[in-house]
Amino acid sequence: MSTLETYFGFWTPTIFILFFCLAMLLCYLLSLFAKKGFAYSKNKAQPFVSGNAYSELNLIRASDYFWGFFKATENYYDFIKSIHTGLVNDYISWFIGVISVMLIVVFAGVIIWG
Amino acid sequence: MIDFLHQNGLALLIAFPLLSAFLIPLIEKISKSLRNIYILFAVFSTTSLAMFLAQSIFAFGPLVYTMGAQHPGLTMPSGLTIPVRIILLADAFSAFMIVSSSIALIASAIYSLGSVKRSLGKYFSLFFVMSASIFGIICTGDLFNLFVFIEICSIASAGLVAFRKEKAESTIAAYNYLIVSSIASLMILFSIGIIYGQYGVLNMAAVAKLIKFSFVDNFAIVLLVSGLALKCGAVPLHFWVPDAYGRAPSGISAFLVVASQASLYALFRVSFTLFGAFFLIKLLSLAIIVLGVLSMFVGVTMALAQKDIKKLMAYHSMSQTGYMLLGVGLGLYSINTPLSDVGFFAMAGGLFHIINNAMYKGLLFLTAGAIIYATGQRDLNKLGGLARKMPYTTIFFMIGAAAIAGLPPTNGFASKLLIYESAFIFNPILSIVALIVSVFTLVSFVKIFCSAFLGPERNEFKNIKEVPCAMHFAMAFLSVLIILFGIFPDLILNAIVKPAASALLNSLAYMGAVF
Amino acid sequence: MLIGFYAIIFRRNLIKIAMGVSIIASGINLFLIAIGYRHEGVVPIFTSAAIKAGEAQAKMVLPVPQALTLTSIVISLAVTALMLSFAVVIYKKTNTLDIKEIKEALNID
Repeated sequence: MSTLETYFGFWTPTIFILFFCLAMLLCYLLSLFAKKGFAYSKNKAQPFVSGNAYSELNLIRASDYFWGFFKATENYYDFIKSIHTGLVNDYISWFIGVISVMLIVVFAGVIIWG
Repeated sequence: MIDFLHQNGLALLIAFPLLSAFLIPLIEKISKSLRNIYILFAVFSTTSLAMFLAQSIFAFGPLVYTMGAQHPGLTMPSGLTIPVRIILLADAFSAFMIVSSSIALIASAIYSLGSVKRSLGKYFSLFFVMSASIFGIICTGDLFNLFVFIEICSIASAGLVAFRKEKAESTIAAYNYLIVSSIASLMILFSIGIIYGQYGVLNMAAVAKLIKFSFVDNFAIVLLVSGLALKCGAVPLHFWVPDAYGRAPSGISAFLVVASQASLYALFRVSFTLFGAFFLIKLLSLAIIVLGVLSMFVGVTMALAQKDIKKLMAYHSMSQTGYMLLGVGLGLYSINTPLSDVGFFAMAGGLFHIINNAMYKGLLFLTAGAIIYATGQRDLNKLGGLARKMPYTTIFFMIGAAAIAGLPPTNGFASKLLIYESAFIFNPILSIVALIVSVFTLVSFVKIFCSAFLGPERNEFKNIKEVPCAMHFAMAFLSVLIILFGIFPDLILNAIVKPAASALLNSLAYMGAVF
Repeated sequence: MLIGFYAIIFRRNLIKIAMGVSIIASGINLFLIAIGYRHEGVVPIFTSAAIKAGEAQAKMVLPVPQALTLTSIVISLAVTALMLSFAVVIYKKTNTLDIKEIKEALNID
């Protein structure tokens, strides 16, 4: 039985898998109580999108997933997408910027605590 | 024979892939199937040599190889007090990275045998040069040798990123990557020059012994840490990552992850062993932790908004690097404080995350490559309903997505659990950010899964077939390892990760192997 | 070195950016050689002119940084060659060398 000891407690994957299999077994036993002979492909309901019948397939694309999240965080995404230009000039400007910030921090630390 | 391998193994580990890289174009002139057989032979012998060396390092302690001496263990000949030759020194942390790189090497090479359709000989020449340079970064004990191998790695990988040259996007991505890489390497060379000018030695163990942290050394430390962080893909310096990983051929994207992790190895080796006794080590570790947290957050939020599969996965790769930086940064922060036990667990989590990341990120890049190979389409808006025709790829993708999001029985959960629990003691906000980033990771992989694999079938994909066997073998190999590492995490932790973490913390043992 | 950084940050032509990297590399090579200078030192080769009569050993300039500089020159040669060949391939496909126009021509987001 393999156990991962962390600082607070432990985690045993084999017990997790055991309980997972037990849950699967329960689901299977429950499914034996179902109505026999239900043909899934014949009794399919048509999908509804926002109350309207969804007649054309492939209308919802991947860019429309989680649109509420993207609308709510629009300011953050505008800022972040405007930083990610494809130009190599900006990449090196960021590098120089990070080096200067770290130098200021380290030399301030040397002066204060050195 | 075993003795010969034991003594000269480190040099062979670097020399044999280089030799294969130069033999492959010659063998290609004879026949193509002989070249494929030789490639398989070279990959398997390199990996078995790597595993043998790793096992002997874990069993017997650090291995030393002095280039050009009469006997490989003779680091200081004829009574000198400092080592004068180039020394290859591999301790338990290097052995851990060797294991991680060789797993990704097998998967990437076998995948490429199936997916690269033309100029396979040139591809594998560059591939073997890149793998030789990665083993060189991991095994070297000399600062300038580290710079040389980092440059070789960036040149070889830039050549591989631009491999599909019929599209100019790959070439401009490789151009950006090469410029950014060479600036980083030049800054690293600058700081190595400063260290040499101060102390007169280039060997890492000798510098660790002699270093006195004068005023100019702070400049060297900052340049070295930022240059190496740029090569890893930490956040404000990450802009080359989505272009380079997203436009490379898929086998190479999986292997570029290993190249970034080799730079992460160099960063940790320099921080712990060379600058372990720095009086401002808390500031340095705070810098690494801040880089880690920013990487996690910015990586995953940019990843949610992408439409291109491989660019999305490249942003995720950056965010997982943030976890490793966070874990090991916490370990660095708590070196001599009362919280050093918790710091040890954080470091163990960060290091375990390195090997897990190589496996599941490699698997995800390989599945994305399989989708692109089968359908020719990279845009998520135009994909749909692939699970009917490509069932095996779907299963491998599900395992990889579960691993990266940290779902239970995979290995991603084991390493993330260690990082969450240890980060909680230092500051609860770190743990909260890590958990939120995990949730966002799961969200974006659900997005890819639903839009690419589920859904109604599209007309243009009615005739696609499954990808070739070689690609399946590579993906299956990685999936099996992910599940095995997830079911027996403590075996892996006690055998590989904890010795690596203690070797990293114990810089005296590193110095003792040379002196 | 600062001239090199100016070229990389403010110039938009692909070849000028590659030249900037080359200038930075030259600056660092000069720095490496200058580290090895010893006052009144001679070339680090054992010739008879260096060993004067009555002196056991002459003062020599350090030889190790010269080896480091040679290695660095060769590496920057390889990097410059690769960068310029990438620039040639990009020019053949998009017929321009300006990075903003390349970004628009290829629709990289």
